[in-house]
Amino acid sequence: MTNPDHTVLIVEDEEDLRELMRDALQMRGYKVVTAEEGTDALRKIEDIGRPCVILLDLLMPGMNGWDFFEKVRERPELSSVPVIVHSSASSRAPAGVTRVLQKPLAFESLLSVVAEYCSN
Amino acid sequence: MMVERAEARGERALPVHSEGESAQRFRLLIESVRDYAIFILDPDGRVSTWNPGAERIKGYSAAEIVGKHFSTFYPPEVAATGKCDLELVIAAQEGRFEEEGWRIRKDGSRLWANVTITALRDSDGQLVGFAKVTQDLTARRAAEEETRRFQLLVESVKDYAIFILDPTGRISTWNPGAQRIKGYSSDEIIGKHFSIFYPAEAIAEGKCEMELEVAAREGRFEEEGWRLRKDGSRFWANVTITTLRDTVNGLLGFAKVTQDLTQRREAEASRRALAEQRAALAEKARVQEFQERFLAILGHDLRNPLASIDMGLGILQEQVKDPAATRVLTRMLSSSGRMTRMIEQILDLTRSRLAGGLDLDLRVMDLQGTLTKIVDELRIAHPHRAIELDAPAASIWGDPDRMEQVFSNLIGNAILHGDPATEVTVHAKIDEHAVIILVHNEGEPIPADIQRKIFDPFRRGERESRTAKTTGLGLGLYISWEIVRGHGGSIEIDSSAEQGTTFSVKIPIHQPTQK
Repeated sequence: MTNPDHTVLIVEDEEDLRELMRDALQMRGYKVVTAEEGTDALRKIEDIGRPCVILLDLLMPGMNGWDFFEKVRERPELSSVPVIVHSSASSRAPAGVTRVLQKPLAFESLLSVVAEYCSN
Repeated sequence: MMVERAEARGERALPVHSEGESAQRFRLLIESVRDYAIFILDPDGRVSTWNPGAERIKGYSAAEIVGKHFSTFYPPEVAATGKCDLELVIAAQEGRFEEEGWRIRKDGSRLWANVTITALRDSDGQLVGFAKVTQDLTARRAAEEETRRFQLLVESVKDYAIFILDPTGRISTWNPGAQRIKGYSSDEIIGKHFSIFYPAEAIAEGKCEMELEVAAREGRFEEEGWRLRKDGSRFWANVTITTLRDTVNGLLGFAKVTQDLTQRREAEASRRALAEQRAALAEKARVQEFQERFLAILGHDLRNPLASIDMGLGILQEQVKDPAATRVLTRMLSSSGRMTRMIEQILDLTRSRLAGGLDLDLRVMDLQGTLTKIVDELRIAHPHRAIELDAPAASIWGDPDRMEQVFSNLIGNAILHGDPATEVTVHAKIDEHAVIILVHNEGEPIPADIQRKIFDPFRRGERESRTAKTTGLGLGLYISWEIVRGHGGSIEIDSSAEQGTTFSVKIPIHQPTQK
């Protein structure tokens, strides 16, 4: 069980990107948990508890980003977790997300965004 | 029969015969007549003689009817009025009574009869009875009735012109439908040749003669075509010409039936147009669906691997310390950045050209803040270049991200193409209706022929496509122009050797009524 307040949750279906984002953040000392889609992510949250930030893709097979965000906001213990949408469909991001970032996100931008919400 | 034989034997006519002989012959004549009921009534109206014609017409044998009152032949409701007695009184007074009316056969069926009752008097003038001659006109009446009804039908038809042509094509009858459709009264048209209804070119082609020939040969001719009204206007007609022949196949003429289908033809045309319009809309929807799908693939599937490349390069840059390897990574990052920008531009182009325009998220935005942000970024990216910004605080109705895109493009171009020794200036001024932002650089002017098409997509010619200064697709200005247009504004260019180059962007302050 990782320390929840220092764990970044990445929800991204594209394996290459998901793993590179994990590498980049881990290189900077963050704890990272990844999920391929919404249902997987909700399961991971059961294990880790409250993450410091959720990086969320929208277009995913299984539970998509919109449905996942709704589930997260329904849960009191997760309702204040920052959710950063990182998607090619960023213009259609659900209302209420913390930030919206257009793909592709540069390495430095990813690190600076995460640094705002999580300690490493 | 006897009469004929007598005549055949060369016997002379009546004068030579005795009265008895004459009566006998007359009786034979009466008995041979089958088409008329001929019989005698006594002065009270009782039947006293009967002939085969009477038996055939009325259905009674002599044995059944002789001695019965002639009211037997009348419908009961008529007999009850005393009409029979009245007829005899009239016949007795005037010598003769004639009428046509309904009578009854033995079997109860009705017949339409012509009846003549003649008073018979002896040499003293004493009434001895009545001769009654009845002719069965039922069939004739039915035929007349049918003709009359048919005439009524033709005369009441308003939707069809129904008329008859003589064998040479001259009009011999006319109906109200013909008058309504063609505009001629029957006085004006009867006797005229039917070619009067045809356009000149049809007459010249011998169409009228051809139609009658076909009808005469085949019994019928039918077509749809243009015809003329009296007032010269055209109407689209369905025409049927049917040949009329007598029992020995002699040509009597032609029945012509014409229907005005102009409205139907117009309705069909508008129905067709509507169907075509629907098909076009459906096709447009299909194309649009395809375009949206295309945009989704382009947007999503191309950006994801680029995101991986960027991320991977970023990680490597952190880890690699060798200067040569760092240079390689920098070039790779620069290329992937360019690739990213080009994908964005192609997406914008596709949206603006194919998928119904750019998406703009219009809101009240701070123009000064946007310009400051862009200028600051460019100052960092080009530390050796002077960029002067002079913009008043101004709120405009706009899409902040798209406005950043426009000014990043215009100011970036000014830095790229301007004289490096001079400064780039960005001046904004505001009036009642609009904000005007002038982006200016000194240096080589843009040639007039390029100025004209500077906002066209992919405007660069082959010759210019590989210069050091151009790194994109040549879509930047086109997309800026589309964005500004989407805000209800405009971009103008002014470029000369003396004045340098100025792009002026005009954005209305108020919400545009349409994109």
